[in-house]
Amino acid sequence: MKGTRVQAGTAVVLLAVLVLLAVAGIFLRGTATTVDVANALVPPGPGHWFGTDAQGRDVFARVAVGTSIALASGLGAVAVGGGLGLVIALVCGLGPRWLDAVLVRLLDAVMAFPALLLALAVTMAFGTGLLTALVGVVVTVVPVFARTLRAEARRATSEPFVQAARTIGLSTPHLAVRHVVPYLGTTFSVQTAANVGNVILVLSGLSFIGVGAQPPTPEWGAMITEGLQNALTGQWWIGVFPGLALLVTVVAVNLLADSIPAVRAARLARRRTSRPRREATAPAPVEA
Amino acid sequence: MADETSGQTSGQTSGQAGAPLLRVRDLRRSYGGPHSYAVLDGVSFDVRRGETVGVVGESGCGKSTLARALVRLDPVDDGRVELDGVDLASLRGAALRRERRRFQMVFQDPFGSLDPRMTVQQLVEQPLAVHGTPPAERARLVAEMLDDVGLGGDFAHRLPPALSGGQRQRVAIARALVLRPDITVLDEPISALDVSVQAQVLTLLRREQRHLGLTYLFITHDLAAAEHFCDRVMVLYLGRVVETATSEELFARPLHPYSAALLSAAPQPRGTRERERIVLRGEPLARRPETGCPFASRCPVGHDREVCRTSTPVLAPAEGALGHQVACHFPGELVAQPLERAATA
Repeated sequence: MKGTRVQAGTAVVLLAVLVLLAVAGIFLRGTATTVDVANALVPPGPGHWFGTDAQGRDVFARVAVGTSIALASGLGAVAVGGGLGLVIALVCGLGPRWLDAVLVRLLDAVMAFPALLLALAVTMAFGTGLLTALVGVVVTVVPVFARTLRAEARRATSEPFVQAARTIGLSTPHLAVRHVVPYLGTTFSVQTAANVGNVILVLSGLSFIGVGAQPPTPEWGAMITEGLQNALTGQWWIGVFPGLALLVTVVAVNLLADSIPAVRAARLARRRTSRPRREATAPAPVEA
Repeated sequence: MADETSGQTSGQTSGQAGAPLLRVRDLRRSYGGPHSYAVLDGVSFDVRRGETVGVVGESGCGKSTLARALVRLDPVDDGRVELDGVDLASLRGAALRRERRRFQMVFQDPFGSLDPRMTVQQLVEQPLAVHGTPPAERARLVAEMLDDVGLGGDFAHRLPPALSGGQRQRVAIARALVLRPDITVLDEPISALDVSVQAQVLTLLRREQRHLGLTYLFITHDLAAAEHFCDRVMVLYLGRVVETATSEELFARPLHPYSAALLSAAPQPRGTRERERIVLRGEPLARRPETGCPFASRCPVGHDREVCRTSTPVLAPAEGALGHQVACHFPGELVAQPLERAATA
């Protein structure tokens, strides 16, 4: 329990820093792409905290903008992919068995490819760029959500409260929205947190090998590639700082994912004990 | 398996006048794919408006399967379930959902049968909302119902995890009865509760029945509760009705050897005359035999009789009390002896 608290606390602190950085990034957009050849390759110091790159652009500003891009695209891709996965899971879990069998086979087929490879294939098919990379990543996220949530949705249908709701007369879609989706809440949030880190990593990977965000864009993967060119001549800061930002983000998000179930369980337990358990002595008499 | 059912549909004339509210005829329900087995094998019975019919039997005899089939949680493989002339077994989709307000169910486990994320108010209001009651009337009906079950006031805004078992079961009852169903299936409604709360819940159910003119099908393995609570009792054995009678008649004069053994095993209230306990040999068969009485292998009366091994007894009116029916070749043989011996002891 104490370990969980430390873990959750660390995750929250790291994520708070990242969010601050991302907010800063929104205001540093101009700075991040301003070329200043006179101040190229300045090492980290008071004027430029993270130094400047070969074109004299401020690396801190670029990392900050990269943070906003990474968080926004990571969350966006997972939200879209997770939403689609949830819909498929509900159809599988509450729909006819044959449809479930067909969809599960399809999902298995998609999941057979490694995420990076699949995203790469989709990106290649639609042309390079951050937007197509996002589409590619969404395709990899959908089956992950659909498979895990489908199993939970199937379990939900045998929960007495779901069956009780059925005997009351709820239609299947109503049942799905009112009782099954809330039941899937914990799993969905864990999956979201677990996938955001991975999605950010894959997106940076795509940009790193040149099929995602293209060079002027201050995206972490693209920046690491650019930094590589200067690494041999000693300007380490150009590639290392975006790399560190990527590392911290993935670690923070995964720590959060690990602590969500424990935190939710603790909250439920608190809700259970906060109200007094008392049996009314007798049901109120009926007026004649 | 399908060839065994033929004889069981006849002989169901209930002793009293008027069309029954619920007519179940030759209900069958099978589990398992290619080697499927009929857990319910041609169950037929009537329930009249306003009465409480108990269904008793040991674990695995098909009590819960019967409940789930009646409220259409599971499909019905064969047979008819007529509620006021409407065949529920053949309804589908929206038509079935509309009719659901007429037959409700209270589940055994009050800890699982309420959505832990909904307040008491929302839980009791939901059935009305689903069936299109206008909001103003809903609020009134919910407040009335919650008062009736003794959960008025601030209980309305609590969540199920903050309630005790008895309170939760009262919410479940309110949720079922707020629709004023024609028939309510009570599937072991008190077996998950503390003994001190059981009587309270039964009293509540009885009072609501008088108040609202309800009809109950009470599924239980608690014979004392069945005797106290039911007007009529059916004994189920391996998916068939083996005996049915008014509860006074059945508990005073069980005719089927299985009923006699079942009743003799129930604990007696202190101060009443001791009764010899009839111990049955063996376990119930995993499957009914192809021929003969399903109880024959364990029956103290019929295990060595040729007719019990070869011919399946049919539920037929017994001598004596009106409406007492039994499916046995030698009704009444077992019960007489132990009672006499107990009386002389």
